[in-house]
Amino acid sequence: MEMIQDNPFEPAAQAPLQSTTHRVRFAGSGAEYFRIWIVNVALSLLTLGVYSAWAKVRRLNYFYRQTSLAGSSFEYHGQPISILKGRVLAVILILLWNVAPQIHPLFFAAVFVAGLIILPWLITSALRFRLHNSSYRGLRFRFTGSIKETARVFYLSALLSTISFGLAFPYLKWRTKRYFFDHAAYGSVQSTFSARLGSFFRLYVQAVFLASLLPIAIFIGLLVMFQGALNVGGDRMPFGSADMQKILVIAPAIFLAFIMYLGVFAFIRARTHVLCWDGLRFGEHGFRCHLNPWRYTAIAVRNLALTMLTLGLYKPFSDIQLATLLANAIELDCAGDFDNVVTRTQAEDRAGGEETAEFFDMDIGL
Amino acid sequence: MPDASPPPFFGLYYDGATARARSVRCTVSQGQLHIQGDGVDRTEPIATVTLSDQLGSSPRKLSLPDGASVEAPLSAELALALGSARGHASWVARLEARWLYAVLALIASMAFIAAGYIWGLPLASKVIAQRLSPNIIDSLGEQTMKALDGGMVAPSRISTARQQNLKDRLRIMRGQDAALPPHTLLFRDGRGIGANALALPNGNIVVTDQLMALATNDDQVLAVIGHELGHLQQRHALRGLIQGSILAAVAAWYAGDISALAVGLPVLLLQTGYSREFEREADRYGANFLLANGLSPALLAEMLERLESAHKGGSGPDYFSTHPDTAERAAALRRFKGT
Repeated sequence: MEMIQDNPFEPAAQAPLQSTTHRVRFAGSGAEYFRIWIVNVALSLLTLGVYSAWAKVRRLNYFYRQTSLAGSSFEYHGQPISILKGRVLAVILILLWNVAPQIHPLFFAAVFVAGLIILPWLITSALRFRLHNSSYRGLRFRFTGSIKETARVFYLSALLSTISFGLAFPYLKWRTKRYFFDHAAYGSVQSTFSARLGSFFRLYVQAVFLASLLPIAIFIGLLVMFQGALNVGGDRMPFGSADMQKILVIAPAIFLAFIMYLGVFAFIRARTHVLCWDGLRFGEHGFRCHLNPWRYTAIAVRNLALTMLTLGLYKPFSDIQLATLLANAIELDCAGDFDNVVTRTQAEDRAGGEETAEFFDMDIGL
Repeated sequence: MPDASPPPFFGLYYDGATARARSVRCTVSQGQLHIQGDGVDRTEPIATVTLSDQLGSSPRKLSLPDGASVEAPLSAELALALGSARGHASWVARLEARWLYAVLALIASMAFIAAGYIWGLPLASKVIAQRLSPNIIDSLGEQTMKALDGGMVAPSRISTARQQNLKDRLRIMRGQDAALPPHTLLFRDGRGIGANALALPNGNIVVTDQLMALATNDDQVLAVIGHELGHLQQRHALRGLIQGSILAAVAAWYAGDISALAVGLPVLLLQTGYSREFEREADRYGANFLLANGLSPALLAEMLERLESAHKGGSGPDYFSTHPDTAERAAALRRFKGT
């Protein structure tokens, strides 16, 4: 067993200036995870979805436990029953949402308003559940936000974004990320988010620029392909009809264009990851993130194409590769030793409403 | 006498009160877990220790009742220690460990999905459609009718007398089918949609003037109406909606964080598969309807062929269109002898 720190008996207070850098490591394997994934998919299908809550716990735990920092790995404590409750609720809500307009417009309005009211509670529950059920070295994380704050953050940003016809969308993203990353606590230390609003605006301007290059690229590509097809086809049509020919040329073009379009989203994801983690602080300790967004985007795009071509079977391999990239890019600068992080007392826990965190989990997809 | 204690395994001990990690060695003997090292010296009955399940090659965790825990990377010594004290891995973990099971799981999943698509979903939607309240069905049809009358079609130019004649004949011909929901025959000038007949979920059957013009006699028009009655009786519009929604939902879940757009085309293809089956069912109903009234199913076959040439149907492969190859359908109708 390797020992990272070699001053076990000196209280942290006496070694404040000794800072060390720990790299986050992800050790998951694509082949191993594929087996876990496919077995869990089969079981979920055969149980018509009931097992899916247990599957989610296993999947998440695999990613958590294969992620390590300073020699210790993370752990996920979510209980399948809670997740199952959340999923059943989600299905009911979705059904209601789809059926309500057909029944009566007033009923739909009522459902809509009720949904707006419940949404902050759902989001806060999901965040609380996720953090409370994550632990490192035996101490749990904690979400320190509240339903009121969640409502304020989300509604305000959504309102602004809508009023500005989407121009304020970067603000929405920045505000919600800041809300989450400012309210994660680990034991006795609080987190502090440090990305600036300007960085988010710059990111989305870049993304829009990239996205607008796409139609030009597609157009040129189509022209080239049409020329090629017409020259090859000549009088002897291999597939009988002109329609068929067009489909054969257009389909791959559309496929490529679509993949590239999703590539822009991958780019956004990568840069957002860096913005959130680079400079994130936990007490006196700080994170740095040096992910190369272009490398991530290239791999994500390639994986997307492979996943679609294999009807989804490549996805577990892709997930592992992307998780590896995202995790290995993160480093923690410890001011001294983070062994002095202590847990909260039970009284503090109860006051924070932690027991409700275990009630149920909504797959909000945050 | 066998050597009772297996070799020790190594791990990191967390006390559950601080974020400190201590390097420890552990042994399991006589039902007790001993943890030693770096200021830690504990012994707990193994029965009070919770062991995390095996998950691939990730470390195992031993949780002690007071909140402390030991994280142990996989090793031969760990396996030995656990194997002798308690179960090693759950049945799921054992399935996940072998490629044979992974391949079996893959085959089982594909078979399940295929079976669900071919039999499971259609059966479920048939049952649901039959149980759904008429109110929902009515409102669905009303919305479509409003959309049509809103500009896609115009009032019919067929004489009221001829319209009434057809309605009367239909009433006589349809007999006493209890499974047939109440319906109304409506005529419209087809305009944009051309020669066509539609069966809406609320029982409205819309026949366009252009279709009437294609027919040489009223028997042929009634043959098409019979086909539409088949759609109504089988509640195809509703079943199509249910199956389409569930298909879309499953596809969206499967695609996960890939955009829902990614599954748009495949889902469309799958839905047209269902639509083609609906058309075949309606053909069968229409043929029986004609036979029961002393007419030949060939009437319907003729109309289908005329409709196709009127619309100059695409020459693309069969699978891309909602209606199965008209030639196939016409041949099947001409061969049809009953039920």
